[in-house]
Amino acid sequence: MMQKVPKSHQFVGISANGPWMHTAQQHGSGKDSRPVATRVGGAHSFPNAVLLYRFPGEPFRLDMGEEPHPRGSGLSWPPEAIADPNNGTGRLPLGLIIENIESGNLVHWHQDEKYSYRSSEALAGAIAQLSASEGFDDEVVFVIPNNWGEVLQQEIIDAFRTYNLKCKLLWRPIAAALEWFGHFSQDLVGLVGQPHETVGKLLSLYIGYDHLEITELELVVCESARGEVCIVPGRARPTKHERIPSIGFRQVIKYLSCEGEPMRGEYAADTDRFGRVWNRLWCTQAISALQLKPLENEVFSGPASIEFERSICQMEQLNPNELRLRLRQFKSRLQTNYKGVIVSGALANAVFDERYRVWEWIVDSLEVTSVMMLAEGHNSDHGLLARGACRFAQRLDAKMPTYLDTLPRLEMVISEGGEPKWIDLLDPEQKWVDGGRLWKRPERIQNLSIAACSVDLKLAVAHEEFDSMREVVTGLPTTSETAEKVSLSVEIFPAQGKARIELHPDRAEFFNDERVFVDWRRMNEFITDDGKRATKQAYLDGLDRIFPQLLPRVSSATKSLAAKYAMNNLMETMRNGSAPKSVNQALGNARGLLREKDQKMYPQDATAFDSEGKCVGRFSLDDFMEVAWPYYEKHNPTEFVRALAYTHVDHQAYHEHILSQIKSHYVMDDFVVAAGKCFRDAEHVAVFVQALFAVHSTSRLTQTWWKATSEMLRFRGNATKLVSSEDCLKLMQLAGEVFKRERKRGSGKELFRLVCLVIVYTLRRRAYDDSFLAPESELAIWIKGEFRKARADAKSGKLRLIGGSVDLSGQLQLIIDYVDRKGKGQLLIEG
Amino acid sequence: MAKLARSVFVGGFPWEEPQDQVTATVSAEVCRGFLTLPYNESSVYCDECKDPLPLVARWTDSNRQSWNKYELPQGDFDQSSSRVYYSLESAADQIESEIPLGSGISRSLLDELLDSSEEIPESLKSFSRMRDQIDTHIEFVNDLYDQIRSKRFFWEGNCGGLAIRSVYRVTSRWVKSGDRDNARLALIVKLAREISRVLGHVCDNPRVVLRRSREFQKISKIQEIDPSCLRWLARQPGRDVYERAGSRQELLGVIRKEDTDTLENRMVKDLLHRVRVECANYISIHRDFLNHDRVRTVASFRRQVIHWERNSDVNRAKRLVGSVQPNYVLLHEPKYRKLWDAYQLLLSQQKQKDDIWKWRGRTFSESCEFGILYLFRKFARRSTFAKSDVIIQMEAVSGKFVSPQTQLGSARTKALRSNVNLSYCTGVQANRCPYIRRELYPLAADFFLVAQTGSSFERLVPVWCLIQTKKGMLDESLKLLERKLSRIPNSESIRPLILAYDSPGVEREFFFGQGRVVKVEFPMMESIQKLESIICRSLGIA
Repeated sequence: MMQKVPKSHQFVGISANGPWMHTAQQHGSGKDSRPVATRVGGAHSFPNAVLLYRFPGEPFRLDMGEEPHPRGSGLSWPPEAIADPNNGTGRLPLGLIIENIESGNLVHWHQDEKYSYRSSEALAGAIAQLSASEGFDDEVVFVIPNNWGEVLQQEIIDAFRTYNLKCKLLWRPIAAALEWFGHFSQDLVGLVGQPHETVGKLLSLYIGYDHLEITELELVVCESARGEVCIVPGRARPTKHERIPSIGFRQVIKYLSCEGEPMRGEYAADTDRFGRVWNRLWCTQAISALQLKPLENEVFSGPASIEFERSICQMEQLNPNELRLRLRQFKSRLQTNYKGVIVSGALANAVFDERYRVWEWIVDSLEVTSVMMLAEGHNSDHGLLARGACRFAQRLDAKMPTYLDTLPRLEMVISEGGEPKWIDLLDPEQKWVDGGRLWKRPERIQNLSIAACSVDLKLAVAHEEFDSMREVVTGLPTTSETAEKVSLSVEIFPAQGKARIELHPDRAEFFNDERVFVDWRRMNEFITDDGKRATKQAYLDGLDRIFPQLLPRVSSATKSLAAKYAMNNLMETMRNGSAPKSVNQALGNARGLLREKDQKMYPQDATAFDSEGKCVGRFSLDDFMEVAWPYYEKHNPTEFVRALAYTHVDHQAYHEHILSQIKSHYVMDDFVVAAGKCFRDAEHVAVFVQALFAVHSTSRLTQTWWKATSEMLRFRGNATKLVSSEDCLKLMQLAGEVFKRERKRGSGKELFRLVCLVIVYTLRRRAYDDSFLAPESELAIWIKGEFRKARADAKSGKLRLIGGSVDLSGQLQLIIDYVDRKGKGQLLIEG
Repeated sequence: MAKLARSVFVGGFPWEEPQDQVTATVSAEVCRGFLTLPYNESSVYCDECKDPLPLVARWTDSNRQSWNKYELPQGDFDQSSSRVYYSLESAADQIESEIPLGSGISRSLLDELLDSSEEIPESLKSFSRMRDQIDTHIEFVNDLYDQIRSKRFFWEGNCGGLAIRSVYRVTSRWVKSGDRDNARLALIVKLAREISRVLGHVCDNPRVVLRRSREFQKISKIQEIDPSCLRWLARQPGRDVYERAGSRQELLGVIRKEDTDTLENRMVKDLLHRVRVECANYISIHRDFLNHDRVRTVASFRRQVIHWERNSDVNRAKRLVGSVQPNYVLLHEPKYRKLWDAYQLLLSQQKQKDDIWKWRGRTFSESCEFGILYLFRKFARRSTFAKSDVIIQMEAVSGKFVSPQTQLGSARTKALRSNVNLSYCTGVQANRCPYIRRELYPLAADFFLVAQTGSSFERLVPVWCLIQTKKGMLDESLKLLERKLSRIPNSESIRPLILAYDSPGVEREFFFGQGRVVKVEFPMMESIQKLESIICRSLGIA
């Protein structure tokens, strides 16, 4: 037994990977102190297990030692000993617990009544019992698989909390790596570099009965708070390829089920085979004596065998040949020579094919080498992971660098300028964060708003662990009559469960000095109204919007092809200094090709160049303008402005030229068209709108003006930024009048559609002025009324809507919804 | 609810069945009473106990008739009988029957009689020894329940009124409980240590109340009169007060007197009585160790109690009748509060003993079970058996503390040529145990011991425990048991065992030498060596 030492100097690591739990203790941080690991129950213990409770109030109990408790032992007497695949057993072997936690966490045992148990709580209960008997007063470090996400981490942390156990989690490869560092500390002295520089790679191989975990760790130079330089392992975010099913349990089960001699007479019939194998596997030391035999296994494979194997352990297992194949496939992901290789796991040192050890066979299959190789059971005592966990605790306590970690991807929906979008709460792109230490998001997430009279705050989150998105509801301590601005701070301990998100109201007294955190326990999968799971995009699409998303023009590959050819010809013509006549001809030819819409891409608005001036394939408008603009300045070909407009080119001189024309008293249509397609600056758009008002004051606005306005509004997100709300309202009023006139004429043609677009996209002003066009305002009511009338007219046949295959009447309703701040989905009106 | 009187089958020994036609009709024919009824899910009640009668066996006979066998409590006197209430077809039709119970004596009467006589009367000697055995068992189980000593490999704990103790601990403790040199720290010892000073103080200066009463007093001494006194005076002949005072010159006047007859003093009086009986009980059990510290403390305490009973004014308080609702003094006056708490503990312990006394046959059987568990553990030091949980209830139910939910694993030991698996199964679990032959179900053994070697079934030992056996009765019934056992196929593997408590002349072999009747004495540890060799022989592990 360990001697009890002062509280602050005891470090404890626990590893429950495989059939036996290992604990490691280190007393003090002195140079001579080293972690010492022991197998729970002793060196001759049967595989450790947790006994499920039978009586109310009975705790989970850890079963260990040389003789097992009768519960769930697989014998036929007493009744609690019976192991039956249909009714479960009262014994939860440690070797299956991690798998159980990963696959739903629940186990069932039907004796007199059917009970369900949470595997994580069973494990925590057993560790609590062990801690009490071993006197682990301090925080323990528990080793977890490398692929455990926040949900599983939180599950085990919550289970530990149930038993008042202070616990930190540590990744399995990191625990192994820390032990490797401890073992080869002398050999690593010469390995130096600049802080955060990678000086090599360490390969961690976990070889368990359940699965294999192959993880590459970077060896990173790190500087401690005291300025000491050291090397620590750096863990990248895990990939699904790193874990491979093992051969261990399949081998043991096959070996035991083929044992010739029936066991001591408890089994009268073959139907007791399950109980017999269960007993031999989990209540004796048979598993320790296992020798893996690859050839024999291939012979005994078969559906019945697999079914029997699954009744004992449900995890996927491979035959040795299959595993070898998988390892060879994996080889391409690895380098051949590593600074170090660390092998851990209960199966690592088992005999394989009478010649090898399993780890040798696996290292051979992966064709990796290293001069600093450490294998559990071979040149390192058992309990390697527990010792690594203990070293972690000691380094953490000594404020030394432990390891470097990466954060998971956790996103949240926020509304920025009225536009909902996903943002990263954590920082998955950040290369390294300090393992085991708190990471805080550098800046708060600002400008969030809690609606008036809300009793809770709903946050939509997307986590890399889930295919679909989730919604978290956080109760608020108080309610407010008005909308309240809040910000969020985010912090997380890497590998220690879920991020901690705190709400900070701008009005400090709003929460009555209470601290409010996002309650992850109230996180549920988001289900759409039609009962489906929502992806991130589907969720955004399902949100009520106050203005429509931009409707940009896209580039069509087929149209680009012809247009690029024409543009290259045009460029050559201009480069050669050809006469304006021939250039004009080429421009006319190009213009025809540039403006052509790709009907195959309908209802998308697709031409050769998209609204950003880009096309599919290699063609540089900048290069083109370098030739074309000097030519235009010199020869002034008449077709130039109009033709170039269809490329949506972003060329400052060209824009200035259009702007100067727009500001003039008389504006040619070509410049109006060019302005609509090419203007990007909010300032230019504002000038254009003023010009539109000026034209309207003297004459009727032509369709060209409306088309240009609608294009600017739907292509450019910042179009309404510098147009004042009053001007926007005026613009809507003008558009509304045209709409009314056209409706009365029964004409639902292009002009009708263009003013619809102007009305609905002017709503994007709400991004800059949230109070713009309140749904109950006079103008809004008038506009909605006109749209309703238009729908009614269309239904009665008075108005002929022309919108191709698009349900234009439905689109009118969508515009009404947008005015009412509850629009959903993309507008499909063609401009 | 319709109530019909019916005659039912009552067996005087566990193995008797309705078809044996040996129905016990009087107490004298009942050693340990069992009621057999056609199978029904509803409970059977008896006037003598609050809980339903314990079901001890369930079986289906050759005519496909299913039966339930219930154990009956012992009676309180020679010709005891009781009414039982049960249902046959539907739960709504409750039937009642008058049945004989085994003869006996009530626990309170026994305690009184044993306490009042210096020498134990011959007629009470066997009951006195039974009392010692039962009380020792109660103390042992209570100690076990109260102390939790969880160890690394043997978890222990209390949950929901149940105490989970490992066989390892139960048996270790049981061995020590037999060591009477170490007199048990029973409740009465604790009381002797904790309340004797307070009790002495209260007995010397009991709390009194001033009570008004009307008494004739000399005229000169009268200090207070009330309307009744005046009315009395008015009715007397004479012209003035002196003439009315008559020749003795006494008038009726109000006088105030100190009185000890209060609820709290009645409680103290009752406490003294109960403590005295309990002391006598403890001294009787440990009569061979009168020099032991604890025994001397209790003996001295008893002497003090007797002194207080004789000399204290508390003795003038009336007897306590019925249950006590504590008053303010009992709850809040520090000395009385302490005595009240002690009284409650004593009362609860005595109630427990009274209840258990009715089921002394079952309690004795439980005591024997612990002995057998100890032997099994001795045979197999390391096995799942030692790790098994013994589930102990806070209060005995029908004489048994060990919950029927207790399930014990097997013990592995070495025989001459091979390993032997020893299994233990209580009588009520027989139906669920794959090793117990169904023909044995009706015989209602208290428990079974099974020995297996390899894949073959070797020996089966059904064990019956009898605490109140008369030789003549047993002789007759053993013949019946032999006949029944002989009818079981392959009966050569069956080694019946009857453990008879303190019954002279009952020891013998039966069933063609395969069975044994063994006399068990108090303390049981003294019989365990003999029992060990018999069990070894029966199980074939000698």
